[in-house]
Amino acid sequence: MSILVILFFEFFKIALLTIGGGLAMIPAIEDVFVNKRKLLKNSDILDMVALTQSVPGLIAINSAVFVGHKLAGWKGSLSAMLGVIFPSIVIIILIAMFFPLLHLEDKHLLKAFNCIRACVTGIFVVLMVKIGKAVLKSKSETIIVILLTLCLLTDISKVWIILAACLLGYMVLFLSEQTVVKK
Amino acid sequence: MIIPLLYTSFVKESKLFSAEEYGNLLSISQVTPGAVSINTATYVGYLENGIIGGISASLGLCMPSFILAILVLNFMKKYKESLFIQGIQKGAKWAAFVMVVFAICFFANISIFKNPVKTEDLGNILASFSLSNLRLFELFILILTIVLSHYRVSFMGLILFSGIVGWGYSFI
Repeated sequence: MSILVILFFEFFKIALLTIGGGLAMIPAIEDVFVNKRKLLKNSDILDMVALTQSVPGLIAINSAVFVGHKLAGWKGSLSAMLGVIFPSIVIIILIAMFFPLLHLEDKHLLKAFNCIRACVTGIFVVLMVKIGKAVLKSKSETIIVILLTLCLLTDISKVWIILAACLLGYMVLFLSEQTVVKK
Repeated sequence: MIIPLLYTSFVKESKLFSAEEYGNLLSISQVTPGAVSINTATYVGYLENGIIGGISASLGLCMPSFILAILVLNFMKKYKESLFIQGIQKGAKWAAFVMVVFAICFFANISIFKNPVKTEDLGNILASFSLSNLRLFELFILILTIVLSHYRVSFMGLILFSGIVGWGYSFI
């Protein structure tokens, strides 16, 4: 199967099963492309999360574009993006056609969605441990990351936290220039 | 981020919807599969101009993200040897960790707490963890998810499982 077809269908499936927005797609992408298909590495997912949060735009689209670009250039990005938006288009148009006045105050449905959100929380906890193992390699790095995480408790916008992290990364690398191993 | 922007342009400026209609539209977008903002755009597009409207609205919403992300990725690929890009990527990995912590807080807030935690003061955060403010069944699902993913149950499986269990539990 061509990689473009794989990208389209995998992102189609991911979008179909994520409820509650683009953020919830991140662990799904990790599960499919790292664990199952083994097309990406864990470090790629890290880059993806950082990029999707720092480039303006939709998280779902940015993630799809990133994975597609990594695997098959701009064509890959395009087919991954179409895969992500396809379920939305089909399902929403069907709902709008047949149930324009749909009310979603159903108690059972709400409980199901709450449990799905709780499940997503748990999946993110697992992802945090994985990322933590990959990122927190030295004491100084751990201190920087803890300080940055504490910024979440303040009013500082996420964009500034990301920018600060990128600049700090550059400064740390600049100061330890001699130890940089060229690939 | 995009939802308040859509609110300004559809409800306040062009008056296509009332605030209540928009709220209903949002709640449908949030509980149907896919990205919330794309769902909203499709819905608005369909109501305005049928199927073609739905498709073009969601494509239109995606295009800026698509073009911008491609440009950034090409730029980073071209200069990936430079110290500046490598430094940024190092920092971006730290940022990724912070954003995952943010995601945990975000989803925990809308699932396991009855009254969402506000971060303004520390006392409030601690008080939110009292037994009466926790949805215990959701907390149980959260812990069960962590245990099950230890045994390599897939993401899709976990989502379906917790949805079905939650639906079933609501009848008890």
